[in-house]
Amino acid sequence: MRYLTGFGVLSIAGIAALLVEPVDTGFIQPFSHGLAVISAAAVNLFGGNAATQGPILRLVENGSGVEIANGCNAIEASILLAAAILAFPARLGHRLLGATVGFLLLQAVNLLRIISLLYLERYAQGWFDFFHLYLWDGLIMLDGLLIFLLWHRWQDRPPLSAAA
Amino acid sequence: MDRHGRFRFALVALLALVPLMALWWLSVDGVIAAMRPLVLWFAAQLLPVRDLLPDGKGGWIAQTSLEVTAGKWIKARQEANFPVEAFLLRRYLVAWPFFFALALAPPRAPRLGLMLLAGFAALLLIFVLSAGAVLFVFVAVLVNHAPSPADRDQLVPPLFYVTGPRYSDAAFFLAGLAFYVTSYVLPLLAPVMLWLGLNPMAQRVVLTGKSARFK
Repeated sequence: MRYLTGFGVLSIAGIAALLVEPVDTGFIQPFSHGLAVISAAAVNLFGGNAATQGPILRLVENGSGVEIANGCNAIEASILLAAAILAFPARLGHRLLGATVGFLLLQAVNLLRIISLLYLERYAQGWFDFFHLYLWDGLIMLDGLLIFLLWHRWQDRPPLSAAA
Repeated sequence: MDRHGRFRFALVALLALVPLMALWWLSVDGVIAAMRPLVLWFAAQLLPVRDLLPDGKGGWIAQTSLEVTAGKWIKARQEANFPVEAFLLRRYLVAWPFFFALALAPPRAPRLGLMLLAGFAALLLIFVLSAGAVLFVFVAVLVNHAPSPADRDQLVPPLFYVTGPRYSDAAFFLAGLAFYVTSYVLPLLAPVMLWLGLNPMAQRVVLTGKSARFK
């Protein structure tokens, strides 16, 4: 119960902070712009030709693109994952490391989501809304759950001296 | 959960998701239509919402009892309406295929059928609350005539003004927060929380780290 309370308080505080204008303009929007830049770099690395304009990621040859708006940057899932890890009764160092690595892993999967949506918008518009609005959110959630389970197993491992 | 257990869990959940998403897609608009009277009853208790009419595209047109007072030429009294898009309502039900996928993956609950039924009922309740939250934020934007902090680009006031007492700043923020949580957080969180809440085997594995016998 104590864990669930801690998780609830951290989650609500984190989500409420997203709605405060200075947090939105000073952190979330630049973060979304950064995601667009990294996504474009990833597309270009693998032979594509993408460019960005603020939070908009687009394919140069035909101009089709996607905007990384709030709700598309996996910040909410990252807050929930961080809250689940930080509220867990484990060593502080393990929790901080877990929250940081978990955030990076979740964002790596979110890059796949953004790039897949960019190409769906170009080549399969009929499927775009289904993937964008419904399927990918759930897959990010499953990803977050698996990251939590991996971290849980890792932080609960026996010490090396005991294992030897 | 050991490596083998995690792999089985992820594999079964992902495989189950394929038919479950198809089933959800085929049935979701029917469920939304069936839930409309309940949402209307709930909203009418708390908000100046008179009716919810189908828009023919899966969404609703909400009719309020708020009078348009300025900004729009009218001959007689006119009430303010607003659309509730189908995609929002579908998002409020998208948790159920993910909940079912988690429930079907090992470690399963001892009474799986009961768990699925209880979870589905809870998700319908969450749908009513979520639809109520979206009506709340639209009404708050109308009455306060200000963009909601939940989405300063999309949740913006119309060109007309309406009668009705303004919400306090705290209530206006709360409306935005409720919308944000129900639209962006609950679809992620509800399946996991219900899965944990209704499956003692999952609780054992996730919250205590103790291994479970996989079915």
